[in-house]
Amino acid sequence: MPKLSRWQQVFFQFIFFLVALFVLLPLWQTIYLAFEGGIHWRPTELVWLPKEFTFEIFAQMWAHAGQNLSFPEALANSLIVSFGAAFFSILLGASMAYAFARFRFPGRKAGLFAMLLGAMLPPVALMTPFYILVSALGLKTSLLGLMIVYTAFAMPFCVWNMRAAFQAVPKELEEAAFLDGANRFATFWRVSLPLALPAIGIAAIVAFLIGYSEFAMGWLFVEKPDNVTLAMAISGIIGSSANSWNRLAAMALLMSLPVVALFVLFQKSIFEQMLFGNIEE
Amino acid sequence: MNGVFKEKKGLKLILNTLSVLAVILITSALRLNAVKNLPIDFDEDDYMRAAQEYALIFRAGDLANITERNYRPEHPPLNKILFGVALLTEPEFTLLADRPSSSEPNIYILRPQLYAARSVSALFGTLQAAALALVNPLAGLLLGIHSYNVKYTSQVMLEGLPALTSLLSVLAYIRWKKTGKEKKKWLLFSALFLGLTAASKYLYALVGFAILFDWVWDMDKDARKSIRAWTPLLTWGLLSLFFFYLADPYLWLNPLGRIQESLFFHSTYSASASEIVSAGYPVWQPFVWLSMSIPWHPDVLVITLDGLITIFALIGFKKLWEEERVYGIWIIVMLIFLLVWKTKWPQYILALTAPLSLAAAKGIGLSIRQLFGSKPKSARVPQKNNWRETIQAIPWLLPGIVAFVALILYPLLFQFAIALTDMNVASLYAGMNGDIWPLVWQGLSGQIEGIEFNPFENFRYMNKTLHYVGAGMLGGFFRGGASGLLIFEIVWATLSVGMQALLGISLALMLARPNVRYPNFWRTIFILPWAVPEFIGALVWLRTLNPAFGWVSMMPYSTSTGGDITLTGLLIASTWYGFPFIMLAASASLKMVPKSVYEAAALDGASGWALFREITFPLLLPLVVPALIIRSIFAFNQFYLFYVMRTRSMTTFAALSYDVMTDANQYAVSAAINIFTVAVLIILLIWFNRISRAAEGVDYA
Repeated sequence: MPKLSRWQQVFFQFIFFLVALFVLLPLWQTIYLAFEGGIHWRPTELVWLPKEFTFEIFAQMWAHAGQNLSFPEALANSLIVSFGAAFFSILLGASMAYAFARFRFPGRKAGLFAMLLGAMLPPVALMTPFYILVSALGLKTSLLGLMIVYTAFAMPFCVWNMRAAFQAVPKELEEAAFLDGANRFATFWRVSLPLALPAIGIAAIVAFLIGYSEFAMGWLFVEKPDNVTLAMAISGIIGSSANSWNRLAAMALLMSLPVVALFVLFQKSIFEQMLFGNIEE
Repeated sequence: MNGVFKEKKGLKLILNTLSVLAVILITSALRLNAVKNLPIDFDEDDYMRAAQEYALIFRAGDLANITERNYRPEHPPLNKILFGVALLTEPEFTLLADRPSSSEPNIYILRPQLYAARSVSALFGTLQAAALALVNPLAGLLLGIHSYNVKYTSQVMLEGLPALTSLLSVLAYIRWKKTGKEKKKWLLFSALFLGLTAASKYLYALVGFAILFDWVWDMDKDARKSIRAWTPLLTWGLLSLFFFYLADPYLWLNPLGRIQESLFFHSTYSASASEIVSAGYPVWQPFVWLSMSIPWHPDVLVITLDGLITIFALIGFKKLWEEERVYGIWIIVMLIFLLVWKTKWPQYILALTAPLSLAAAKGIGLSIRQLFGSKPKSARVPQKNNWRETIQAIPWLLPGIVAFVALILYPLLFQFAIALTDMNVASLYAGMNGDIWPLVWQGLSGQIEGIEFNPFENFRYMNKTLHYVGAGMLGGFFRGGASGLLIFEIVWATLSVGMQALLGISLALMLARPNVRYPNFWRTIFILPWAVPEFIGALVWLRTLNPAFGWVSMMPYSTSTGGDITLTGLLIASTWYGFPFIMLAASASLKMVPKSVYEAAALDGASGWALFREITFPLLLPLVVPALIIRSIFAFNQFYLFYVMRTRSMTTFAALSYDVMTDANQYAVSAAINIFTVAVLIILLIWFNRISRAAEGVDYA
């Protein structure tokens, strides 16, 4: 793409700054609230810095995140469930996505349609049957049950997105590998998969976030307080007690931090390591 | 040969005549029934009084008075005068009381008078359908049975005459175009009818703009510069104004002042009238009217196909546009006006039902040809199924298929079964131990009768034993109970994804420039909203926008602001949350573009725009189109945002279903809502698949 002139550079930076303001303003408000010890019910005006700076809220939160769980325990539950769901979604979906991208077979279009339909379904659209089925299987209060449910929500989406990624890989590269004597699987593993990984990474992050930020289904499927996830714990205190806004802010902040960390990590692997150099030979 | 040809032509003429007669018959029968049986509506008493005033003037022979009289002067008098003429057949009477237009309809109108005036409307309504039937019999039929047309051209409303004359004006204009623009008499007719339209109700005269646009569209560039080319257009416009003036006696003595008076009324009325404020219709209410038949008189308006007509019109719009553009412009002009105009009364959509019916007729024709006719030869090479590849594909597909069936297909099937019963929290156990399957099977195979069950009347319904209900509950949704909700969903998904895409793709393109400063820094910041879970993001915005909790007084709890502001708040939050995903998808595609492509193109001297159109844009599609589709789906099914914001006036199916399941414990009802969601999504998906062929463009398989 063409390079930027000096004025364009300034203009771009200005736009970026505006968008960043839009992005960060509400986030800053959350961070600020988490350290605000000076108001006891709720903020009534725009305040930039805490009136009384305090770590108290975090200390309370860490020991007691709700439902008799400490924060690390709830976080662990969340991570187990959402990583599990993301992993299964990619594992079960990757080969299917590749087949959709590269093979012709009867029912291919119908299958893609079914995937899109599955991806379109909001978690709520399956909650009624899941609630009954998971209860009937005796998985109702276990993390495994929740993981399965979240996998169901995430998988079709992953397949759909991965198919696009595989399709975007130039077929000529695969044909070159075939000519070199590689079989279908080796070609998939060595050529298509690495090239498609950025988009698969996106799919995995989405799958992870579906589970990590889900609470409505969680409350339907988990009864034991031990298995409450972080999102559920936060939703449990929405509007509950007097200083709930501070508690909510602190919880939200702590909950979001690992995701942000994960994002920075993924971003690197997605956008820098994988792709460049491979295509240009 | 010639004889056969003539015979065929004669046969066609006979068939056409017969179908026009049939349309007239059906249309007039529907209207006569409505004339007799519809209750007296708002405004009817007002226009009756206007008609009575004119009738008295005629009786007294005091015709000069006609220039001074126009009861309810916000609307021009022509249609009211004609009502007055109809009342001359009635014996002497006293005037109805003068009352504010917002008061309840005066039901003490003498029936013979009412029927006489209504018959005038019905006559115009029938003539309009007949005129359209001359162009296209099916379209005439559709217009004849459209429930809004039946209702409002069977009451003492001001819709009948202008609806007819606006159509005639367009027909005359088309006639002029088709006959080589030689016969100026057709232009004269067009102007005449346009003038009559304006003298009946201003709204319908907007059709003049449709004609104007179409006219200018057809002029070539050189012609636009010469004055001669503009003369007929100018003449037509002036003639229209002249006929308008002639047909509106109220204007004769003081034209400018009285036009001003009525226009001034409309601007204050639409902004402040109590009935408009209390109706509280959203901006997109015209779409809601178009999506459903009139629900208020189920025993009089028995044909309820309006939603279907709109759907077919969507299908046929393109064809209509290609064949005769002015109809398409007509629809668009009216839609834009109805969206912008603050008053959203249902009768206004009559301004576009005529071209809508034409589009629907084209759509029905297309659909029939698609279904039964021989398929048009596609330019694409037919995709043959390759058996070697199929066998190769099986092991790749297997894990995905097993997971999909177990995790989604079976639960969906189960949900269907639940929706056919009355399951709630009390009868849950029957679902868990599998009793539901034999029950549903017996019900579907006719061995047991469904019980009466209306969950919407009684949310406290709790029965410990599970019963078979049948398709009644599902049917309720599909018969249009969810129409307003559906329109909101579509508006919501379009607006929110549109804003996300605009921001996301622009940022990705800006960040992909080779020498842009600090791209990773900015990118990391922009990704943050997505890293924040949706419901946290919603909380954060609630905290910002809500007047009770936040510092920007914009959100749902505010009593002083209307629904639009709520929508704005929801849109801000959803854009904030959603744009990073699209930005990521676009960035990922752009990273796959080899630099050498741009270098080669730059060497060839391609400009920035050509680079974008020929290289960047096509390469964006494979990842961005799926991303857009997915985001639309998320918007359509948005739950957490609505859950947190608690906007009860605006809600998605998902949020509604959750409320029904958790608050009311009516599992069967929530399952039925979910099935409706699935059905609507399938329809949307088919449509999406059609327009997003771009994603298939790089299909190497």
